[in-house]
Amino acid sequence: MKKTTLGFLVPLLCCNIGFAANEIGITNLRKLTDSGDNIAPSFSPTDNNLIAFTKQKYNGIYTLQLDNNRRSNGAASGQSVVDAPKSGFGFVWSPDGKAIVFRAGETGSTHAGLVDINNKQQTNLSDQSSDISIPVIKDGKVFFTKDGVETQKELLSNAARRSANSGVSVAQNNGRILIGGSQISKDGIACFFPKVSPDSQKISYECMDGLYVYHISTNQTISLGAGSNAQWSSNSAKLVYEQPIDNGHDVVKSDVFIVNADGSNKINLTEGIDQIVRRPSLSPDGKKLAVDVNGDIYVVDLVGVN
Amino acid sequence: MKKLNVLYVAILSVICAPTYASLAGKKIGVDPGHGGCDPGAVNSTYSVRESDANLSTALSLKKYLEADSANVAITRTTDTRFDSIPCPTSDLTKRANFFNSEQVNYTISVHHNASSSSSPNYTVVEVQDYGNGSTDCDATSGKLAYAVVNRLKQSTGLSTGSGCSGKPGVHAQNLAILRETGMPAILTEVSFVSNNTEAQKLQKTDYLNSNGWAIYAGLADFLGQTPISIAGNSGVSRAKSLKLLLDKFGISSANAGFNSYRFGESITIPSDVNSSTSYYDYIVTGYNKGIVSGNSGSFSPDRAVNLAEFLTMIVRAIPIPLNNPSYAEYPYGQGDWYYSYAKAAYNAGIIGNSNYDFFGALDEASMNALLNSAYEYFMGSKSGISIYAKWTQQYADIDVYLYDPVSGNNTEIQYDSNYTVTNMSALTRTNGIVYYGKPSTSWGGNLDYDSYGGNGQQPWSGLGEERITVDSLMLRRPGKYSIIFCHYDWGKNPASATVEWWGIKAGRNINIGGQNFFTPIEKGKCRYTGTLSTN
Repeated sequence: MKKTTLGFLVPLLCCNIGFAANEIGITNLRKLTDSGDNIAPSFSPTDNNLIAFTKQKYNGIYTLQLDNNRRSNGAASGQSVVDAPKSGFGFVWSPDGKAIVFRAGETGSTHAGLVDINNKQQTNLSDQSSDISIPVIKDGKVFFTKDGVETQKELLSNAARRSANSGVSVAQNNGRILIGGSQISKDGIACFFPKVSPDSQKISYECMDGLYVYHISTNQTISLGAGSNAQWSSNSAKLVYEQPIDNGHDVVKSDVFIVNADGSNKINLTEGIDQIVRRPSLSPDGKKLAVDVNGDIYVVDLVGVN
Repeated sequence: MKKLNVLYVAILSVICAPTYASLAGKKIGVDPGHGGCDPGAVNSTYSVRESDANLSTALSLKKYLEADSANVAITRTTDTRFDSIPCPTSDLTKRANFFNSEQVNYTISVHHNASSSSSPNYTVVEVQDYGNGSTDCDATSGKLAYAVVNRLKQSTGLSTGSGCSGKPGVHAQNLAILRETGMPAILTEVSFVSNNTEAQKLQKTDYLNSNGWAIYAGLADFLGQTPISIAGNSGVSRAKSLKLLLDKFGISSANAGFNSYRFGESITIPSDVNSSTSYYDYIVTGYNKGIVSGNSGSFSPDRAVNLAEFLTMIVRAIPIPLNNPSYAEYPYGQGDWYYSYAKAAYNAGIIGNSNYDFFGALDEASMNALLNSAYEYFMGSKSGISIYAKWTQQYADIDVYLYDPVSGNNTEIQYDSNYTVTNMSALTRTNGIVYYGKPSTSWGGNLDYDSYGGNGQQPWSGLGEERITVDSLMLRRPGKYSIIFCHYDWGKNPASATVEWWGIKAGRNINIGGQNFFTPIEKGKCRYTGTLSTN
């Protein structure tokens, strides 16, 4: 892995970069953690100062409040809300920002769960099963496949309850993305990691050959090109994602992009920054961007975004 | 004079058919490194690209994993570097996300190494180095890596690189596929593409396949499973066949007892039997019990067993005597090395009167059918009886006898209050004593393996053992066979020796509670220890 000196951050900390009108860019970078093992930040959908993240190897889920003190000291460690192994990959906030839905365990012994982030009380969304897909939330329901069978749970009062078979399901099953049981991803290539937009009208997903957005109303699939770890903006109009470059062994560079859901107006937010900037997430007001760099969580202000 | 009544026939060893679920229920992430516009290392002298070697090896790995019932998620099956934007934009993160999404149990990334010099060539398996002194060397990944590199050492014939303490060949490095996957993950650097000798080998399909199999076998070792043979799904490895056999007949690998010395012959476990593998104890047990033998210096544990070899193991394990003059002729294979074993198996009903393919790979279904037939013979009314004995007193010379009074002109065994036989000379003059005979050289009413005394063919090891088996065809039914141990007096023998012994009848341990007996015998005395009924 390329050694990150964070030297590039210094100018950003001391002085904002000027942007032309309508130009999108980042400024005022703050380091939130410094333990070197924190990754994959995800803003609360309702709180511009609350971030969830995970640790190396996706073990556990933590939350972090962006108060002024921590911003200046950059020494927050976060609060553990889920300690289950491997629960940190693909976790998703509930729309009201009060809970996080996750999958934990491994093939052969895995389950889906929901945690109330205030009291840390967990609710199992499934029993221990052999195979459970990453849960997604759409139309107020949690969808996942359990041993290949589509399952849905309704999100009510910060807990998920069994739902009648209503709504159109979204799931990943053996490298395929399914909506209502029908495959929307290409044949012959593995696709994975579906993420439903907050308005439940669009789905982003990754395939081995790129990043895609599927528009449910039009049945249209748009290729965004190379990219990984996409996150929706709260108004479902944009996505942020990373575009890592590797040498076949390790990631040697990664830029963060923002793009409209129709694939237009793709902008490299970290162009010219010689750092490995990973796994971006937009705050609900669209004014902050959280990323991980060299194992720590950073937040920058985003300017020029509508 | 006192007579012991019929001994203790305790049926205890309920021999359950073992299950061999192998890798069923496991999902393995296989990642052939590089690909497409990214060839990885290239040996320009021999036009060998790392990406090609990675892919061939990984596809073999996938083949064996699936043959062993594992689910496989593989990142590429063709010479492709995924992504819709040309190199150098790349896809390592996607590969990791794919495995994370699929929730694979283990990630195995297949790579080959390279150096600016053409000299280096060794095998190494990488695990994650998190920096600050934290690595996966001692984590699950490290243990898996160690099992895999031990197999790669064998398949490549190469030495290993250095790295993690106590795990030669395992090295820690900060690599994306290891760091960004949530499950235990390893990256194999099978060998050096930059080495010209190695590059030539990497052009050979068999070599690439054997390395793919080795990675699979390492995973199986790590999971405590016996790998399927390199011949693939249709074949069962010699190691696994021995395990199946021993388990079927309840021959515990922990009960080998005799270590490195068996029936007067020094045993050397071949160098290709790796002590770190899951089958090691079984092979040692097989050698100790004479089920497998030979001094060729290799056991070839991973080669598919054939019918000739497996029948030989079965016949030796039960055991079924060879060359019984009452045997019916088996009409096929006369003159071949395995013939006497095939004939014995045929007469025991284990194989039929057919001209089998004795040298083709034996599939597991056929193997289980043979074992079931053998087990029926072993457990059924046709089975013989065996007495096993061992002792550790130096220079003690113990012989085991079974005495059949009916065959001995109804001469009754006589013994005193210490169960010392008082008419042994008279008994040995009758035809009732089941006595010596080596199965490989002559036919007798029994099989008698003796490490000291008896047939006198053994060097001294400091301990002794003897097994006497009466073939079912020679057993009187109903009959009562008296068990006698004699401790001979050759002058320097110890005054007393204690024989640990156990008996098998119809596949079952006859001893109460399954515990071995310990019988002390004075030098120059024979001791009556009980009578075994053949009813």
